[in-house]
Amino acid sequence: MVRIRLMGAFAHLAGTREVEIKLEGKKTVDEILREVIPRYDEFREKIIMINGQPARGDAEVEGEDEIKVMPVLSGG
Amino acid sequence: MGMKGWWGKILRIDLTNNKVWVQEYPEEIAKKFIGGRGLAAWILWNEAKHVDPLGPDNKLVFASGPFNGLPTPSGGKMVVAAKSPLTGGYGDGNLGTMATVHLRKAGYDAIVVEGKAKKPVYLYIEDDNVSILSAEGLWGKGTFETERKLKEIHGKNVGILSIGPAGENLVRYAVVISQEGRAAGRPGMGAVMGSKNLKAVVIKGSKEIPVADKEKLRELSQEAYNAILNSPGYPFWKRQGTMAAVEWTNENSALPTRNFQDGTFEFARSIDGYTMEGMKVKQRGCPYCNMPCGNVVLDAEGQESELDYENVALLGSNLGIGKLNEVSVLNRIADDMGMDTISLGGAIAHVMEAVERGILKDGPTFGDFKKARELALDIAYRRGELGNLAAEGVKAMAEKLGTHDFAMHVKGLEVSGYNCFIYPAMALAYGTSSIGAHHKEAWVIAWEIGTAPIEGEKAKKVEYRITYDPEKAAKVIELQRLRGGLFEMLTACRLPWVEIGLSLDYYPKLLEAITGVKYTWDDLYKAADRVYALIRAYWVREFNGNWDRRMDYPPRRWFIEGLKSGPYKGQHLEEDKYDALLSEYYRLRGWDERGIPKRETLKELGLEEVIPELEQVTKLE
Repeated sequence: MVRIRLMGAFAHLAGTREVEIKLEGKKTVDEILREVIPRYDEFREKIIMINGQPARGDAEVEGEDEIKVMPVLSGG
Repeated sequence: MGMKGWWGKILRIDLTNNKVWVQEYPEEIAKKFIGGRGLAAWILWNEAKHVDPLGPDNKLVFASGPFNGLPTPSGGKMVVAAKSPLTGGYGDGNLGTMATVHLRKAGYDAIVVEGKAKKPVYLYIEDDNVSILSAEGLWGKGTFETERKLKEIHGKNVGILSIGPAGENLVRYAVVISQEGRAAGRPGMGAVMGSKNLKAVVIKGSKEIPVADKEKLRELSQEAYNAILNSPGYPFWKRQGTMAAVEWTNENSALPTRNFQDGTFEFARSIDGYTMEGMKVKQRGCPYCNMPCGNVVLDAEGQESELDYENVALLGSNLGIGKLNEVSVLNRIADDMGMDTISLGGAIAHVMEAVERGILKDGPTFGDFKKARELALDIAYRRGELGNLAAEGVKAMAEKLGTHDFAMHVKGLEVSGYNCFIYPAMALAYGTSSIGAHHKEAWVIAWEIGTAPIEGEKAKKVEYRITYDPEKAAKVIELQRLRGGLFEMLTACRLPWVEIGLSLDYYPKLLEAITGVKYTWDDLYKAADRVYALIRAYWVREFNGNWDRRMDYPPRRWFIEGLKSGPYKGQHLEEDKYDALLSEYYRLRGWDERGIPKRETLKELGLEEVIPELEQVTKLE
């Protein structure tokens, strides 16, 4: 199961802060997140982590990976 | 005067001699410095020379810009500036307030107050009629009650700025407050106001501001407001505002914890945006803003407290206090007493660490809300030895106690809500911010994480490495030009762009619709660079040329210790690498290795007039 942790506006739009999905084969992070988060492509900037390390949206995900996606905030 | 967008008028008040007059300033200056921070810096350069910040000769400037008073996206802001009693250099802040709307509608772009009243007074400004009235019935009251009382006297349709006991007692990080939670002037602008015996400013304006193209302004604003409402980030922003940053910084080892000893807090969840949502009773915001960020909760004492990220980071995790209702009490006290929440949190945290290390005998330790609450009030009233010492700020405390190793400030201004052990670009942003350590001007931390070197075509499992690439210096400058420059001059809130993704293109277009003047992006960058150089020149002059690149260094802690926990445990900044990054910053700005603008740079930026005076205190390259 791929675990996805969502933060900020992504959690809001997905309606949840955590999702688990079973992957059939390989998919990129963007492909997976697009299915989970409405309006995902409208966010020009995002920070993606795979297993705790920074990654790009075109990185491939498999099996037991954990994805974390957070918005690019700019602070108060 | 015929100008559109600007009045070209500054209301001058001399409290020593009870004089009021209107100064006209040239169109050339309006166009060159635009307004807000730009206008304030020009005024202070010319008029606040080698003054005692708490003496009668300091000038307290309230500066609006062409955006203000008009329906512009989040354009309800005002800059408050003076020579700082906390840092000794240029100081300013920016707050959203009806006072900016009324000031501009009253027919002025700015107010400059000089001198000192014999007894406590407040200003009442109604278009051309200006009165200096007795504030003896208000002196000693908190800002909340002060505003309530003034509205009883003058009606609700006014803009009010006031100070609390902290400003009256010259706490060095006292601020100016409006509307129970909007605050400005971290480096002690509230103390400057208090030193003049000025309790409040009440403004009522009814004039129509001359605009070059009213229809275009209306059209652009409407479009921008709609873009904000329709953005994908808007619904979540409405829920949490900047409080969403607690989860974010904690996740990225950047949440200030126990005087910046660590970047993650075990009780982060109990003080985060989700907890705040459970306590929220109302939303407040600035004039002309359709994405208000003031999340009001009921605190542990049943009082309303308006929260944002900085308050909670510095008065919560930074103090080891993990209950949001208690943090909210400290925040409310700061707002009511009129003290900067960031510096208050920094000062109390410094005391806590000193107590835990046995350097100070009595005082709160981390997590002690009750004693922190007492200390906050002692600071506001300068009561007791500890209260009085903490009211001086972290730099002064470190000088007295020898605690420089954990003194979290830059140039004397306490560090705000981002712990930068592993973020060199953000550390550079703090080092080079124009008023001392402040995140407002160049918040680069997300970019820094997001652009961490990612190798390989479809990389994953890449480690975050701390890098000092020269492009980080360029990024800091790029953001300073916008956040510390453009937005501070218009004067408008940067959050629609920064949090919601509103296109930057609106801003020069709005500026043209208002003033009739077309600014290219190069013009706007140049204006920002000009203001940065002018502010730097001010610091150097006021320091009599005793200036060194070390002034642009972040706190020692980030070099000599490492993060205590998390995936980046033990990691920290390296001094020689920071130094190289700082040199790149200077190179890009055309400043010398001391951090002083070169003669050629000053000329290029149209600041020739600054050169002779600067050369009196130092040699220019």
